[in-house]
Amino acid sequence: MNKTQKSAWCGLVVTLTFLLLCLFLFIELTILKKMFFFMNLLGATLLFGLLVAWVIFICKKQSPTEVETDERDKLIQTRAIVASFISVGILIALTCLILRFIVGISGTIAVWELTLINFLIFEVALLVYSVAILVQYGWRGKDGEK
Amino acid sequence: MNRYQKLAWFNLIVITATIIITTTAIAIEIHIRGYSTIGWWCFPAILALLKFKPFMFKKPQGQDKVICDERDTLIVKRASSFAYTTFWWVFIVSSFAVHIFMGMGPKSSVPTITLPLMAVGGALFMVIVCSVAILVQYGRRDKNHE
Repeated sequence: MNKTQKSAWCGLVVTLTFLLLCLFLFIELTILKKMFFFMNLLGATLLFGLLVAWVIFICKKQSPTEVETDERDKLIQTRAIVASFISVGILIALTCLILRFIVGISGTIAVWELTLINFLIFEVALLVYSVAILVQYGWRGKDGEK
Repeated sequence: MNRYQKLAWFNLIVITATIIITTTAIAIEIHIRGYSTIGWWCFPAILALLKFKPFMFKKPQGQDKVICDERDTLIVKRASSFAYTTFWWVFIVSSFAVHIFMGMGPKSSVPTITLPLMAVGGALFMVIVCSVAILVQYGRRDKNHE
């Protein structure tokens, strides 16, 4: 598994964890109407730990001869960026439309909701980027070997 | 100056002109008869010039004409990748900036138009960064090759 794949796997794990935490927060705020402080703290610590592990995992080389990236990796990254960019465009347009229908054109939303929406869009972009890289490599193996 | 450089300069000139003319129009409007949304219409009207790029900078026709070489493609790819990364930084930082300027409390709110405006602002910023990155890379290369 090369550096790009490792990075993509880390991105996938961090993104899914973040999205699950957001879902949990949403359930807490809307359905249960009660905040579980310990669970939230545990989730935030887990996310922080995963982010630190991501940085360590990327910075640490498996061997001194490990190649950073080659031309194929760069091509795969470029394609993944394009996929992520297109998905972000669609997602932002959909979010704007949904907001317009729910709140109305002259309506308002809470500032924390805007921040959360922007962060979710970012996380989805990261998710699409990671999945696009892994799909192109074939999910496993150094050169997509099956 | 090749086609990509011309396109980059055109982007920068149009966006700068849009910002200056829109600001001036709004300032004059406020000075004469008070604030209204008419001045803002200058923004999309001038920005629509960006859509005329394919007609103004046509690709060279014919089999012996070269559109771009590998170096041009690499420069554009690098610039686009850098611009995309910068876009996310600006998008996320602006989310927090809204949080800081509008207040941290649960009752502070923003109009729903903020999200599309942030997206348009981010896209414009991305075009500016991409154009500047293209020009800088060509400039640096030219100096090295002299």
